[in-house]
Amino acid sequence: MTKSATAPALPKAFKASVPVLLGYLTIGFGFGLLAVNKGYPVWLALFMSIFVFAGAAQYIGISLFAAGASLPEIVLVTLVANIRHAAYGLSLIGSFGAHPRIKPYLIFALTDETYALLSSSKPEERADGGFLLAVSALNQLYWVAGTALGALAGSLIPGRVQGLDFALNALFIVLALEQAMRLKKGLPFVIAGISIFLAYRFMKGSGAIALGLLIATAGLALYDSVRKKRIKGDGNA
Amino acid sequence: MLSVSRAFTASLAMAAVILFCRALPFLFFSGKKAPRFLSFVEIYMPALAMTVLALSPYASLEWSKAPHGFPEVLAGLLVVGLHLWKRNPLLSILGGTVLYMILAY
Repeated sequence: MTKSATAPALPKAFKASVPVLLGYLTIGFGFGLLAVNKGYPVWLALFMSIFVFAGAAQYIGISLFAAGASLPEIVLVTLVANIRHAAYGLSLIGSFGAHPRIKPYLIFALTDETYALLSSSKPEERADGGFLLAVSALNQLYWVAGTALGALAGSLIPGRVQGLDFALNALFIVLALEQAMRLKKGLPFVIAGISIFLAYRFMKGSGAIALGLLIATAGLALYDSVRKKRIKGDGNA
Repeated sequence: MLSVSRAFTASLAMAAVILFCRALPFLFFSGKKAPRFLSFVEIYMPALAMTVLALSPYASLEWSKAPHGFPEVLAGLLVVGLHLWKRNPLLSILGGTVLYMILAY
């Protein structure tokens, strides 16, 4: 990729990424603070934000580390918490495929927020490799900067800030509401809500989240296929 | 609590798992059309995953113990209210978290 291709893309990408700038600085700050508060060094928080780069999973990861979870448990929870990312790439196979040199980084950096920005950008922007790269890299820069500030603040301020973990829960509530506004359907949310309460009757902790998501997916898929068959049946009758 | 070196190893494993999740569609469906079930996943999975994750702390609350989930419920309602009102993620998250910190500690 040449410099001339990136130059005009950067200001456009910066403008598009301002909402993520605010969100990532705050949530990244919260992550850095949480990691240090749980007793982990600043460098580990930074390492995670550079190489793991997944907001919710990093919060969950630190909580699992602090609870002394086993490696298989951590791997399973990470898989469950992030398998949704597999769905994101589906709509970007074409756009990313056109830029083979930066494709590996674009795939690596495909967070919820980057996906939100890229999938809602204009078709000509999505065709521009410089724009794709600039949005992805800027978002990661905000995330790492927020983590660094939070981790440093945590190691400078003595004592522990309690209750900060709720920021993660608040983030999920916000993302669920955004999904509700996008889908304009209530049923998936009702099914998911029943599923997670049901799952906790059989399992605890990370296992319950995996089970809840499984029940919800199966429940919704079942409803979807029954509804499709009924529509088909009505048509034939 | 995991030691720093074991937490580091676990972080490496997490990085590998997450990269795998993100690369999955590119490994299997590049150039081909994705099967119908995956387009179902594409549409609904974010909604299901976010709802399950958002409600998980509530599903695991011990309601009979003081403070009977009040901080979680009130802070959660404030997040919903703020977000429906202003639709500013930063404000919703900060507002709910600050209220929770005040109520719970």
